[in-house]
Amino acid sequence: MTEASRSRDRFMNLLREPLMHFIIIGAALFALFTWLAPDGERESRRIVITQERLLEFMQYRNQTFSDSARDRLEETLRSMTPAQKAALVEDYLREEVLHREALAMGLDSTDYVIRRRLAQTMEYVLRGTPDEDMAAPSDEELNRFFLENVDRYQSPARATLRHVFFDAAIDEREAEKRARFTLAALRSNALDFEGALKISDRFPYFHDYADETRQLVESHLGREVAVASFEKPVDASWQGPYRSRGGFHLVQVTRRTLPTTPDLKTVKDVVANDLRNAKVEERLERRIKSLISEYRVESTLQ
Amino acid sequence: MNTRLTTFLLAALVWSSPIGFAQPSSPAYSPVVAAKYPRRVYWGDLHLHTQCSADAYSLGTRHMTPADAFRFARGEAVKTETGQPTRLKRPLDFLAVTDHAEYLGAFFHAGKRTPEVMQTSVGARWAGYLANGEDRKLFTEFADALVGRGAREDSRLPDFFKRFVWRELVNEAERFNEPGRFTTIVGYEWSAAVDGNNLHRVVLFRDGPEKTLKHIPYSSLDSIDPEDLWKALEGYEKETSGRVLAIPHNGNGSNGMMFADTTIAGQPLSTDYAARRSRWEPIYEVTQVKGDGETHPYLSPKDEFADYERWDKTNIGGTRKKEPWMLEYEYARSALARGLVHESRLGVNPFAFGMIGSTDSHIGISTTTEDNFFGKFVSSEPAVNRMVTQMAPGFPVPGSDFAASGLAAVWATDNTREALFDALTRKEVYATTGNRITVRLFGGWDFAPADVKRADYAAVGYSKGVPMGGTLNAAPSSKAPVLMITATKDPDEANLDRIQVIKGWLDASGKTHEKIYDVALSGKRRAASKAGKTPLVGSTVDIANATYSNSIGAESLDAVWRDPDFDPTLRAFYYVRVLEIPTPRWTAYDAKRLGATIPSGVKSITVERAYTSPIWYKP
Repeated sequence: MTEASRSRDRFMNLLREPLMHFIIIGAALFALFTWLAPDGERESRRIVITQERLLEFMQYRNQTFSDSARDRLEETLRSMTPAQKAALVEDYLREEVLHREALAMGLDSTDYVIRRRLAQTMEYVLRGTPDEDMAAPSDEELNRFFLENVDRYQSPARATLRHVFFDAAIDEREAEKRARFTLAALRSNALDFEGALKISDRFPYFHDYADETRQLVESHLGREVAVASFEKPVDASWQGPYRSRGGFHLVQVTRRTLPTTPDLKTVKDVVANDLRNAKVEERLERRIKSLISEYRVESTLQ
Repeated sequence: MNTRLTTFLLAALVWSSPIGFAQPSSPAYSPVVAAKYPRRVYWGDLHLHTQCSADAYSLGTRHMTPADAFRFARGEAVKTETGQPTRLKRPLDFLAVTDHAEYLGAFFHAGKRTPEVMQTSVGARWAGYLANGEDRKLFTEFADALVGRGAREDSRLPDFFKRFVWRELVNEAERFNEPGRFTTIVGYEWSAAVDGNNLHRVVLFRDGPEKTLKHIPYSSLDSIDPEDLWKALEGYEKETSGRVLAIPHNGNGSNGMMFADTTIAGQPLSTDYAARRSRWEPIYEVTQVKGDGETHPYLSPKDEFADYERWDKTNIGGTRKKEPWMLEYEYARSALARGLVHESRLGVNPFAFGMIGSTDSHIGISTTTEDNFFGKFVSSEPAVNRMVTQMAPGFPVPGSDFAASGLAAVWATDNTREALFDALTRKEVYATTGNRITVRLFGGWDFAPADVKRADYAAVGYSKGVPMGGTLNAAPSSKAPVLMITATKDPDEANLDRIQVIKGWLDASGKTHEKIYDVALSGKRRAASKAGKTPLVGSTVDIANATYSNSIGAESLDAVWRDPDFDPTLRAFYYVRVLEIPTPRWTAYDAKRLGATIPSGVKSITVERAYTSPIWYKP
């Protein structure tokens, strides 16, 4: 380990310290309040209009904080006509006064939207960026993450099947009997699929399903057919009758593909991206937990 | 009964059946490959934008890539632009990412400072806007481009950049195309407006990269006249032997121009125009996030269900108010009727279109169910204030007007680019306002009431008639068109209320008419005869809790309906509308989940529906 990376590590460890978080957050809040009300203006009901403050106001309005943008806004401000500048001051005053009055009334803590917004902003600050405090993942790390989350990259099992349907709405026993007769005929090759369609009932969805997921098969044909299609051996024989909500089904499964797992090489970018995001989320949770641990939480719950 | 007897009886049944089939043979490896006709309907979205669309990008869609859009559509969980995790209840079968051709990919690349765009003067200018947070200037430049005003020399992008972006988009679509499982269709949107009147068309290709890469997306900077777009598409087909079509949308924002009696140049429609329009534009996108375009209460005062997701205040640019005379030239039902008028004069029907729905979402996220609606722009992603947030700067439409709509349903022989495109061409497609309601429609002269109950009714439908999108010619003497219809609910959503047939016709004096027939009703209701109204299905909606129950309505309905008012000498069209029982609108879910307040006058209950492509009758 080089001296530089060691000192970087030390710095990183420092960043993980809850105390450090307090210092950073404290500094952020201090900066925010300084901007909101320097010189104890809030108490004194005094508002000082300065070039600097108008510029900041413009920056917030435009949601832009880069140096070049600041230079440009400064230029805009300088070239404003007196009327334009007066309008800007008017806008600023209006917002500043309303904001201060709202704070004075404590609206910031009673308005749930603002409360949530502040909590979200804090979360955003704590989340940080993927690049900060995070080394590029090693191949080993990538591989481990890939294997741990392999279902995310798999494509699901699929089945190809067709079925004939016997509607149980009118006479359930009759429907089952017809299903059994037809099954025998299909198995003895006295009847083919098209022929069976002629003596069975219309199914509300479809009679053919090609390369479909279990989710879709189950939503149309019910659990029993889904089990038959995805859990039993595939031999193209006619099976059933299986019960669904609407009636009885005879099913012929001609093909099934297992869930396929891609090679890590082909999805490496995606996995790396997911890993980075997962690390950022983990770090966020650590930071929030450590903040919570700094509080003494008392409960009056029974 | 012994097996031999059963076999005999069953075989006898087969033998006596009216339609012949091939001899029994060993089952095909994949039965659907051999299908002679479509066996199932496929669901998708043919109109979706990502960060590569200039308006999407300048209004905040900075991270949602075409890849994100494809992943989401095929069923993966994705985080939206605002960081909200989301997923579809069920994957879509196909998706077309159709970003605006105007400055396609350019703002996104300017934001990334990609060398290809930074070496153009216009790209450098945009990168400057972005660096300065002047995103609005970007949006204004895009809005200018739509009306052809961006044509000034320094706003044009060189072809090498257009090709660079197009290659990226085509490659992404190819990467996600999995024939048979998930189909991606290559396309873009030509986004012209005349004086703020919407004339937008989505352009879709049947072909793979060896052909599509020869094309450069045609934009409103090239021309704002759809006839010029058709010329460009014709050029593409000539050069590559490929296939392409255009799908217009949002007639409701065209202030009477979408289905006008004159061309953009002000000429009355000619036979040649009618032939070219029906050739290049066989489909109309009738429902989407910016409102529903089936019909309007002003046009269909007797239609109890006409007042649905209306956008009728102004044109799309917000530059001119809507006037009642415009409506007839904006909505699908009246346009289909106008088509009959033109056909009687020109011999060709310019507006013989089929119908689909799609989303037109600009956040890369195709959501259409009321309980999982993610809006149009970043500003209408789920948030407590999205009902009152306006659509975009200068577009003062409140978010509450957005419709959680719609989907394209395609009866195709297979889930491939070619099969889906061919189904669009023959109009065997239909629209829903977001739920996966299965609807099948056949028209013929000889369907018997029992035909629709048969498991192989589709085979009967094809052998004795035509599917949706087809035409019935010259009625045999003393016969009237018979429609055979089946409809089934979305397995995840609400039950069905009814099936309706919407008929439009042209009388001998040249006047158009429409009539609605209730042809199948859930429960024990009877359709009204003559003057009366059919009893409503009722409502189980609990607005406060955003719930409903399937204790009313039917899972599946069917009908064999003979036109009781048929005159064999008059041109007519028939299409089917299927209505769900009332359910909570997305606004009710927002109120329940986010604590949002529903502004007065904003609906909190909806009636989801499906519109099939018509079947026409020609004397």
